Amino acid sequence: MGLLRDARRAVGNAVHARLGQPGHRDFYLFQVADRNRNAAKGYSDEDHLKRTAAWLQAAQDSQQDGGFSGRYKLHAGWTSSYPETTGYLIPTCLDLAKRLADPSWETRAQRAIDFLLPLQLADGAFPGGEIAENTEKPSPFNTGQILNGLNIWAEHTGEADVAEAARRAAHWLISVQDEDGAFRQHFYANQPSAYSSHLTCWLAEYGVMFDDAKARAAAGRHLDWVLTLQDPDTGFFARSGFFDRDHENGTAVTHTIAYTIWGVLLMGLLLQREDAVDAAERAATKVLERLEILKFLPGRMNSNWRIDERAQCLTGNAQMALIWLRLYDERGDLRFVNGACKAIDLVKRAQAMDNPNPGIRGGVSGSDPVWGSYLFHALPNWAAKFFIDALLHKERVLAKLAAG
Amino acid sequence: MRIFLLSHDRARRGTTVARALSERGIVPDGYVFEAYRPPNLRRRVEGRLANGGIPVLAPPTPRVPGASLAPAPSGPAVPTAAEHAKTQGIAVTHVPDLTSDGSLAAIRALKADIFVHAGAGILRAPLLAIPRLGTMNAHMGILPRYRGMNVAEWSRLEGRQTGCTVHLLDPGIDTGDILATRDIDTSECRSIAALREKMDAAQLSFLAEILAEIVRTGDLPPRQPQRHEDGRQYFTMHDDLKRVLERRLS
Repeated sequence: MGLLRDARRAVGNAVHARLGQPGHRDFYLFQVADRNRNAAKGYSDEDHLKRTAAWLQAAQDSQQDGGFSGRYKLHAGWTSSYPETTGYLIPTCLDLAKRLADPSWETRAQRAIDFLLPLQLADGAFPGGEIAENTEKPSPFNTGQILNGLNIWAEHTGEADVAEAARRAAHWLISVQDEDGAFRQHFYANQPSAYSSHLTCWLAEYGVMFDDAKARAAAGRHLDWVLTLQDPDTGFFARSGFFDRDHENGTAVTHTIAYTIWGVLLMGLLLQREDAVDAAERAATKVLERLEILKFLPGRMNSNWRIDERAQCLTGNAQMALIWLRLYDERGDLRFVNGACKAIDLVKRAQAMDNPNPGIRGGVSGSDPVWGSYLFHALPNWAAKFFIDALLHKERVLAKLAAG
Repeated sequence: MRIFLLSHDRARRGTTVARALSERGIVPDGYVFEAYRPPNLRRRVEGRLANGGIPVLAPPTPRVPGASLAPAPSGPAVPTAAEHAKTQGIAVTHVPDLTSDGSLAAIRALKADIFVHAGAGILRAPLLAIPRLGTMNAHMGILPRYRGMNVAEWSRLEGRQTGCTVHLLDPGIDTGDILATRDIDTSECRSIAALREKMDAAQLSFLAEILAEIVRTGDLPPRQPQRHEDGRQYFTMHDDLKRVLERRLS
């Protein structure tokens, strides 16, 4: 029965993946065969960076509104623009403009800003979900991610209207925060999540950039709340998963584990809270041990950092690499660089570099293999974003190490 | 003093350890060889998938020269432990594993005073409890700071003193009681291969020196227990960091 079920599932997956579409069959085959193709061809980090950047270009150009398509789905192609991730892609665009000496990336960031500003709701919030799904229902988490883009663009250009949009977004976030520092309003079933630290870290960023004490205080209150969720023995943050069942089971996908840790780490640095940096390091060290021992990063782990799902969540890999590289900057422990390089390798290995389909070539799938549970059969723009961010940070760290 | 080397019959490490001991006049009473067991079909398939996929489904891609770090130059061929035992007339005890009751009973019958780790696999607590004095190991880094893999490389990359340690094994990774540590000057090493070669020779010589002292006194030197928090666990160094180290050494 098990074999029959697996065979049925495999056939169903293959049909769902539209293997007749250009590049789909090759991409599917790549999941199980010739997995060392990229290393064998000698692709450098630079090659991976440029190919991923080209995928992002295709994601933005697939839309008419200036936003970045949320993802390329094997069963449906490019989806509509995703305001949340278009927001935090802005700093990535600016980094690419500088790194590749290509001003068109700055133009792309401008297009993203022009897409986002009209979406801001009257109260300062931004809507959740992709643009085809929703333009009215506010989302604190998505507003936080967009705030990051507004902060960085306002700092980069000095544009007053963008700074004002950031102020309105920040103050709306403060207005929907609960007394205990958590965010429940406008979250699914009014359930708070630890990964909203990746919301308040951008509020803290706003507070520091624009010298807004109220924003810094709100971020600090949230940080206090998130720190109460950390298991002192394992370092795992409770409620760091997406769903109620994750909270009940004490499990989370590495994407949201990394969101949580990054948020705690960045707030620790911005608000000069050493206790938060220590907390982030504790959790990040545990994830690093799993990567080193297993030689891969399970896409979903439980509160003891054991495997809950073997398929990797590639954006989680890239995000963890970023966390480890940032921790190296702060703590000087080279083991973090080592783990970051390995996590990046795992993403490089799963990237289809030569696929004829621009929705696949250079993209980073949600899961490896692509039929894993995180974003089944899809390549999200945020995986590409975090991968580029990680490659750029790695390059800076290695250059510094090489210099002495 | 009854001394046995724990190894595999195919392991060359058993031979290099035995040769280092012989330079101090120590001839072990025997080898204990754990049988080589190839992975079963399921593990082979899983390993194949994890390490590159199924080749028949896609043509192999030619490897680009220089795409990965060059392997360390190989020296004169070292015979396997089984070949060495045969030529030197050293007794051998073959066991299917190092964990089953039958194997442990056979090993207990040797009435060993001391084991020396010489290329065997993971050693569990019941085995480590057998020899009267313990199981010795040479480690290519200074404990307790440098536990785990590539510790000579990590020491140099971190700009710290290189050295080696002779310690007793416990079920943890390089966490057993320390018998002695020694600083090794590696400032003249101009490559990772040279660094490892020098450190390996030094650690084996040091192991033999400490074991010779144990044979002479009939007892272990003072043991220094390790606290977990005193050390760091290191893992295999990534090629990108090895390249940084190679440039620094050259």
